[in-house]
Amino acid sequence: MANKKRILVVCGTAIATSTVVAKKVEELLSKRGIAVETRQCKAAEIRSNLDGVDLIVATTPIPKDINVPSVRGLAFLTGVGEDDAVKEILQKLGIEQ
Amino acid sequence: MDFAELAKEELIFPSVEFEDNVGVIRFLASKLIDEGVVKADFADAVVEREKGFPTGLQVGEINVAIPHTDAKYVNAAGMAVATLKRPVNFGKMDEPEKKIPVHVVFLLAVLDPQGYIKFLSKLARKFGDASFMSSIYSASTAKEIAKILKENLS
Repeated sequence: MANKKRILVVCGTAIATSTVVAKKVEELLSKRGIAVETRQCKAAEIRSNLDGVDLIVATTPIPKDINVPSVRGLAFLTGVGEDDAVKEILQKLGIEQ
Repeated sequence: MDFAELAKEELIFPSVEFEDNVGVIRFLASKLIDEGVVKADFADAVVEREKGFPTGLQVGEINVAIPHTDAKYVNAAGMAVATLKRPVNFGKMDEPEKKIPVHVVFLLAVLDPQGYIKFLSKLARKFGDASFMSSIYSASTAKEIAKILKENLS
């Protein structure tokens, strides 16, 4: 039985873009039968939000020394390159495709 | 709320010219301030945010920017749009040091992200649609642009 994957969605001011991206990621992953729980935060707040996080999806650059795997999330906002971005998420979560 | 209502003719400005992104942002912000959609310090907040966290999106031949800031500067959900006669540089959202020439700017007043989500996802998806972007950019009147937005975003 699979546990829910925890994804931290990060953007500049934690409102507009991360909300859209979080919803899209939940939708696309649940379509593939993957249970996901998303949390959002501003880029400045990343370090205090990493507890239990399996993956970061970010629309802004994040510090290089963060140990959690991350995927660039703009594709989930505009739809451009979305399929590749989903594949990258699956790969970084260690999920068979 | 009918978000297609957000595409208001009075808040759409085709073929305007500005030297830089701060110019466009302040111009559009002043329109939202006049309409009471946002508070007086909204303009400064958006300009500040754009410096640290730019909102340029490189989506194709016609690029777009979506400057915005925290809900605390906003009174009601709204949007002002400008198409630029000459593209203006904005930083890329995912690569802030890289500048891209932007042709269409959507200044967003977001009050409640959850409520705004449907509208913003539809709008953002359209950025990747080359024919939508070129019809917005080549439209010469606010009326035409409002129509295209309403048709595509309801």
